[in-house]
Amino acid sequence: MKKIVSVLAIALLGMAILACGASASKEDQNAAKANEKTYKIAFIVKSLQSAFFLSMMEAAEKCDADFDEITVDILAPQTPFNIDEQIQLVEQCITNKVDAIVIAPCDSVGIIPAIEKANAAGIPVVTPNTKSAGGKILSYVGVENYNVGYDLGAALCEKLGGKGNILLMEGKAGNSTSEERTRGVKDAVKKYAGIKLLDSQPTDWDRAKSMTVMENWLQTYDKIDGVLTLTKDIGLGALEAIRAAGRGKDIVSITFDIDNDVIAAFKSGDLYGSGNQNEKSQAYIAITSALFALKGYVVDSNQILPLTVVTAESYK
Amino acid sequence: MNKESILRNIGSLPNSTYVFVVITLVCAAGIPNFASANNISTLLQQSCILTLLSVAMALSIITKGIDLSVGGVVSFAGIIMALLMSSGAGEGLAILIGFIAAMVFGFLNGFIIVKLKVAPFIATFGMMGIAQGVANLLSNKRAIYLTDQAGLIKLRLIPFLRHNLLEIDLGGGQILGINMIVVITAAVLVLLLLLYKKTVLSAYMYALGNNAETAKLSNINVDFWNIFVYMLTGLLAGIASLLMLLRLNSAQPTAGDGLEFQAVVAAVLGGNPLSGGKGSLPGAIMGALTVFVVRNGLTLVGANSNFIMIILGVVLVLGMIMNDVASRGFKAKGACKQ
Repeated sequence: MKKIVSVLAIALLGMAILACGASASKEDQNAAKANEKTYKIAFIVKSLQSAFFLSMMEAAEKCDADFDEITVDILAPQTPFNIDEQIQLVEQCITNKVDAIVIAPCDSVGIIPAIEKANAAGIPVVTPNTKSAGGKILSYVGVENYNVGYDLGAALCEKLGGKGNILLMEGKAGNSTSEERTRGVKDAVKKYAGIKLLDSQPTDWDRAKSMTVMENWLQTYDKIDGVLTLTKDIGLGALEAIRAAGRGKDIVSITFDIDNDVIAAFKSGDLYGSGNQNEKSQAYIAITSALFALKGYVVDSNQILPLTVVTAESYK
Repeated sequence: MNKESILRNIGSLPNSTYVFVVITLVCAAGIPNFASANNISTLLQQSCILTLLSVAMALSIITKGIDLSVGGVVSFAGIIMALLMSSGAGEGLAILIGFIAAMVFGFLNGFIIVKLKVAPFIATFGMMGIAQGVANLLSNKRAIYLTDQAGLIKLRLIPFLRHNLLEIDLGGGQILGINMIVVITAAVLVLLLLLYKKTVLSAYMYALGNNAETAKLSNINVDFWNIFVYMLTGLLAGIASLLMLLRLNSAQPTAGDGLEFQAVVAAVLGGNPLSGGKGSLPGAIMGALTVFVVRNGLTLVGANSNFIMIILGVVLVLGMIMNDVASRGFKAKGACKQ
């Protein structure tokens, strides 16, 4: 008897999945009625647990609302930054015969087999934020991550007057965005003989982990002049630790990406600088580029967005 | 075959089979494209890695242990293989050394658990960190791309192992492709199930998981078999790592990240309770397939990724309730072994 109950429960769950499918296809039908030609575009990001990608997803939703002729499906791997799961998503988009795939790859090299599969199926691929190292890409929309690292590194060294002890917080080990930015920072630091990079550690792009790393550094090093963090989530984590130790006055902090929390940190004087890569524009331009290409327009294959370094001075 | 024996056969299937069949039928009926040849080819290929790891996890769970290092070992063995290949060692040799390295990690797991008496959860969790750390160090935290670098290295085996062994054209653009990855997985699983069912292995493992003291008194070399099981899970992680290498056509230092927990979920869903002493390898396979059917189906429907996480959680809980209810039901009828 109980077994029957549990089979029923499973069947019920199945119905829920079905209902979900039914409502989705109904939406499609409505959209099709409103406009004869509707394009289905898959938008795949790297993580659901990162404020940065949530912000990109917001822009994708906006794009979906702004254009009648497209529906945007937003997808992400369940394990943050997992490349195999991202490949699975691309494979399913191919099965589902989407019209275009817009993807920020977790890894530039690892994504290539998936891009090649999409190429073979004749589905155009646009990569916002992170490049693919191979396959046929319709367009890249974003900044050069190496330059992000280099510009931030140079800005910090300049602010310190070319001498002092600095620390670097990386993203996730093995993740190409993190590795390219790290390389940029290290190259910039090499140009300044007086600057010493005390340590560089990965933080998995995670705010809590960055706080722990910073707390350990504050224990280890008596004299820290500057801290560079490769994105705002870990930047704000590091700031928490610095504030708690009361050493905010001695340490110049630079991070990357901008949101309200970052602006608040500028205003309170805890943060010196940050870079802006306009992630919302990246997502929006990438999706519209796919749409234009589907409509037969020519799209530039390399749409490099300007990178601006903002400092606290601009908020005074 | 008479009616009774058919019924008995159905009754002896692992409970997760029902969950799998019901969910698959629902998806096939309700989701366009789900039952298409293309999707089934993709689904099979995607689920291979987790299936192997789920079975590995079931092996360790049945002996009242757990192997959390499988994810780390997937990253580590992949880096070893890719490094050797790109340094010019033969592909076959590189793969072999990768497998051996994975088994060495398995041996260390077993040794620490059996001889140094560290709890399996802690020992393998530590080894997970060590494997991941070594992978990061060896790779310098960069992905290693397998390519014919300017004709220096000619890869033959890897492209062969990546291709579709069979392509059956079903007409209308539907091609059922059976990839080598699927063939390798099937071969490994068949061998493992034979080893498990046809030798003393399963009997010893249940004995270990239920009461190690009694097992010892019945003249079973408990320490040897315990270490053997962890070497086996290590080897399975090594094979999974080869599959990952084939799928990504590169070695990622973080390829195995989070896989250990997905494997635990799949194994538990497949009727391998964490309390140990009982469980089923075919069940673990079903568990892994169920996870992928749910994920695949929901993605095809276009469900939000957050929603998929919730549904997977619900499937796990419902599956557990069903396993529990079913096994109690069987016990009441006197059909249970224990």
